[in-house]
Parts: sequence; C-alpha cells; structure tokens
Amino acid sequence: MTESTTVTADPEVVSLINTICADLAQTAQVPQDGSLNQDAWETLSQSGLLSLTDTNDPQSLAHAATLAEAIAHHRLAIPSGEHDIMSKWVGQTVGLDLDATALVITTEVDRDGRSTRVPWARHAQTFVALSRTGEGLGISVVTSDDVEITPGLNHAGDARDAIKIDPAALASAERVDPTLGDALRVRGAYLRAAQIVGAMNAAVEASLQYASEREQFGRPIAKFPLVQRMLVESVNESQLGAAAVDHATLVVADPQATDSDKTMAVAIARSVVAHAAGAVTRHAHQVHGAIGTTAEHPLHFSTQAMEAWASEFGSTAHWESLISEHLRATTQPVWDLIS
Amino acid sequence: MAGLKAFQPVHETPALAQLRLSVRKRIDELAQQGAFEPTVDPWITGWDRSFSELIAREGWVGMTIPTEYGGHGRTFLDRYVVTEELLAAGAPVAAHWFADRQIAPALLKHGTAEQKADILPRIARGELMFAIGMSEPDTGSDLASVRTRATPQSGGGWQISGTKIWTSGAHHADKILMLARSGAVSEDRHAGLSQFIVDLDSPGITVRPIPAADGRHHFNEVFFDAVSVGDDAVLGTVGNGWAQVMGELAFERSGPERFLTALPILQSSVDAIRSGQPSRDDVSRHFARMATLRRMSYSVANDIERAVPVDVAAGIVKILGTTLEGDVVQAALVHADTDSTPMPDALRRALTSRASFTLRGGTNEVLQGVIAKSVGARG
Repeated sequence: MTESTTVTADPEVVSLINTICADLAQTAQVPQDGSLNQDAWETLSQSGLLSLTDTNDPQSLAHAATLAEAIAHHRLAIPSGEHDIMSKWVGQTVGLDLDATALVITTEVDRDGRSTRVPWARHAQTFVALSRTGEGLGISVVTSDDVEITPGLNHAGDARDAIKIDPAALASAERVDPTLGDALRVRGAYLRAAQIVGAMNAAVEASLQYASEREQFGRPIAKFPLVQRMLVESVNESQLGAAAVDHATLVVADPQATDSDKTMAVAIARSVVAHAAGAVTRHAHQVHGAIGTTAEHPLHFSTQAMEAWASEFGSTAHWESLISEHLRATTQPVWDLIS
Repeated sequence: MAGLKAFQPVHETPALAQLRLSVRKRIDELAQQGAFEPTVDPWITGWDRSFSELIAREGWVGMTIPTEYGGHGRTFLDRYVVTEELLAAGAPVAAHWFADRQIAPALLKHGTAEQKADILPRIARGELMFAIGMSEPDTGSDLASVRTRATPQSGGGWQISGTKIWTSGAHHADKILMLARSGAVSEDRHAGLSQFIVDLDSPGITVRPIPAADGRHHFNEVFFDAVSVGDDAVLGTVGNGWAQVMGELAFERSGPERFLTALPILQSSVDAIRSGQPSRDDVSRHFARMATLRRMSYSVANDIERAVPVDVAAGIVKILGTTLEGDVVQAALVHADTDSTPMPDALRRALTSRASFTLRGGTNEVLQGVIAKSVGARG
C-alpha cells in the first residue's frame, strides 16, 4: 500500500448519496413520533444503499458511514446504520441468513428476553437477539411476531422502544464469540458519532445561511466580527468532529486492528464529536436568535438530534472514562498512543 | 466548505511507518547518550548547533532538498514524519528549524541557481541557520504595512533600512530572510514588497535582545541601518514578495509544532493519573483532541505532498491546535499544587510560552478571517 485511498469513501459514491438524500429531504417531514419514512427506506433500499456492508471490503464502512451522515444531515427518519452497520455486520460476522430488504434490528436482551430503549424496534421485521447464557453469549434470529413492543422515544423523537421477546424464540440460541456484544456496542457508538457529524454539518450550514440573509443594523449579521467568530468556530469544530469519525472509520474497518484499537478510536471520536457538537449547538442557536428556539424552525431537528445521539450507546463520560482507563493501563508515552 | 470535508483520512504507508520507527529508535539512543535534554517548545527555544549538525548527519535536515543540492531528495511526508518524532521527543531543533521548514522550500521555488547552489548544501549539513524577518514595531498582523525600506542603488544592489521585531534566534542565526518594501506604496497594498536574504553580520545590522517574561532569550529586535546588499540578495522576483510569503505560510501553519508543543505537559498529566492520582475528564478530552488534530495535521501534510491547496485547512489546524495547547497547559495549572513541591520546570516554561501559541505564525484572529472568507461569511 503506497497511497491509502482504498479505505476512504469513493467521491462518486459520496456525491450519489448526498444527491439522493437531498432529493428525499425535499418532500420529507421530520417526524418526532418515532415513525419511519417509508419512501426514503424504499428508495435507498432499491438503490442498494441499505446493504453496503461487506466485511471483506473496508471501503464499504466508509460508504455506510457517509450514508448515515447524509441521512442525519437531512433528518430522514430511517435507521440505515442500525440495519446495515450493525445488523448486516453481525449477520456476516456470524454467518446468519438475513432478509436483505426489511429492517433488521440487533440488540442484547436479558434472560427474560427483555431490552429497553431499542432503536426503531416497532418498525423491525426481524430481530437479532444477543442473549447471555450460562456459558457465554447466544444469538437468535427472531421475527417480529414473537416480540412485544412498548413504544418509547428519545429526546429527538426517534423510536426507542422496550421489547420483550418470547423466551421460546431464544431457546435454540447459537453460541457466538462472547466479545461480539462489546464489538456491537462499539459499532453502535461509532454510528451515533457519524450521525452527529451529519447533524452538526446541517447546523453549521443553516447558521452560515441564516447569518448571510438576516440583516440587522443595515447589514447581514455575518458581517459582524463577533458573529463571524462563532461561525468560524462552528466550522472548525465540525471539521474536527468529522476528522475524528473518519479516522475511526479507518480503524473500525481495518482487518489488522485489534478490538482495543477500535474501541479507543471510537472513544476518541465520541469525546471529540460530543464537545464539537456542544460548541456548534451553542453557536447555531446564538446566531439564529429567538426563531431558532421555535418548533416551526428546523434548527432543533439538528441540535436535539445531536443531544440525543451523544447520550446513546454510552454517555460521553463513559467513553472518556474508557480513554482514561486505557491511558492508565499502559506505560507507553502519549505520543506512541497517538502516532 | 461547511459539510465538505477539509481533511481526508490518511493511513500511514508501511514505508513511512518503518521510517518513523527507525527515527524514534535513533532519537531514543541519542537521548540516552545525552546528546540532548528534552525541552518544551523545542522548535523555538531549543537552539543547539551541534545537535543540528548531528542530526543532519543522520539525514534529517534538508530532507526534501534534491540530492544535487546536497539534500536527501525525500518527500514532504518523510520530512513530516521525522519532524513529528523530533518534536515529540522535545529535541532541540530550533537552530535549523526555519532554514529547514521555510527557507529550503522557498529557495527551491524562487531561488536562482547560484542561491540554491550556495545555500541549500549548507542547510542540509545543518550548518547554516536562518531567522525570519516579518513583523516590525508597527507591523504585526497587518503584514502588508511593513516599512523597512529596500532602495535600489544606482550602481546595482540595494540599501536596506528599518527595524524587524520578534525575530526568534536572530542573535544566533547566520542569515535572515526578510520582507521589505522595495517599491512605492500604491492602491494595491500587496504590491511593491520583496524578499531579501541578508547576512546577519553585515555592517549596519544591530541585534537587540528582548527577553521573555521568564528571562529566557529567543526574541530580538533587528535594526537595519543603511545595510548594503547585492542584487543576488533578492529572493524571487522584485515586487512579488507578498505572494511568495503567502506561499510559505501553509508550511508554517499546519505542522506538528502547532499541537505538539504542549505534549510534555499532557504527558505529565497522564503520568500523574498513572501514578495513582484520580482520573481527570480534561486529560481524556485533551488526549482525544490531540489525537484527532494529529490526524488532521497529517492529512494537510499529505495534501501538501500532492499539491492540493491547504490554506484553509492549515488555518483550522493552527487555530484548533494552538487553542488546545493553551487548554492543556491551563488544565495542568488547575491541578498544580505547589505547597510542598515547586512548580515543575516544564510547566513554568509552558506557562510563559503559552501566550505565544495563538500568536506566532499568524494570529488566530487573522486565520479566522481567512476561514470566514472561505465560507462566505466575509466579503
């Protein structure tokens, strides 16, 4: 490998994804009641963009992450990442035969088959359930007929439902590598980081747009140096967040990387992205003024999503405590750890 | 640019990874042998001619200079990797820093055959040290307002008069690359500026030290009183100084010195939690940001190698990197308890130099202007 472009997203695929998502956003509402955008799901599914994952091709993760970012940017209500980056990956890793088109949600369940705050569960046709057994970790593929759903929502209005799977459906669980549960949580956390980058870009774009149109004291507010400073800080932080996620993509997709490498790259991304999102949110609302605080203005679709996602698949504090543990557990100089 | 990624992730190639390991190992040996004492801010304050000559013999100075000029014909990324390792080790690289980082690329781009043949081999041997003369007492961020005057002489050559200030290392360096006004002030503020390479022992030059708040001396004021130089002192084209200087800035702004200066401070905070002190959120957070900034800086280096324009990306790295450096130092100060032991020397030094992090190489406010313009927030 002389030049490593193989694992970064193909610019043509990126452009295709952005075009399709922007088109879908023209007509889409942002529901905050947990519903799913069927049109968007079907369009993306027919384009093959909902089953990009190929564990033999590291570039596929870069494409799947690009899609998750673009969907988050436009707040299209579809769980591409839960379906593709999580479930399809588990399916390929373990060798499950999963239907390619209908939503598959993967989650850990307790001995009674229960799990809480499961993303998009009410829309899933299939569940992949990871259950702790006496001897280790078991995996079962369950259809929605065997699952009882109690609807719930997250802070941004995405479906986060409680589920109870009929224990009989888990009885013949196959044993899998016990580290699969942790690896799946890392991928979930990575997905949320990528989504936050998408929402952050939307908030920055909206701020730049608004500041160039909104006039006060006879000129666009973007002409005021103090406003420019907020805009520039927002641009800088969003680029930092994107760089952290893009690096995590390289590591998570790298067949040579260890689980610990992947966990640390995702922990770093989650820390960086969470604080970047905090700065962008503060500035975006300050730039937008009162209108940005209203239900009718779309800014909150991005800012609330960032807040919601930053506290899923582990809090920011959780990921930062993992960084701390990692720093404590080794004697390697800091430089060796970041170079 | 919002939404567009200014930083492409880069995987280190096996060849670069190999270079990094061998350099790291050798620096370790040199440190063991007592060839240098690790220092904070080593590219500004670590002036050590014999160390520069020593590492020049290792092939680590003038790496990108072609072999025909005594250099090593290596890529910009090779140099980047070596520079990172030297800075991370706190090695005293100040003596050859400006010559290696800016003068060599500027000469390769704009120099005459004679200038290149004369100067580049000596840079590559680590024996010719440069200072950079940009700021003046009345010219800081507004660089186009320089007043130092270069007047053409009737018999050929130039006479230079004026004052440069905040000139790091001018009291040790052999030559200075300076910006002077060579033509009339016109509507176009950027016209009429030229770059000159001047021997610092020329008659008419006086160097006055400006000690920093902790008493250390790297800043100087350099007075030019009717200093005569030949036409061969001009770098590039007369009147094209502004464009030439702007071209150097990307090299200057995105390098590893923009986030690694505070590395020893972050390392001591990590050492503290390793020795049993309670975990600190700020350490995890700063570690995460530093790791990411390092990726961004590497990405800019990769773009420079491929001749992709990087002025905005370099500005972003410098703003975020130098701000982080200040945050790391502040966090260490928050945890410093000097009731039983004195403040560690590294922290004292960092506290003095932290005020410079966000100033040198173009203030962060000037760079914010560059970024604001690029995203259409400023006309």
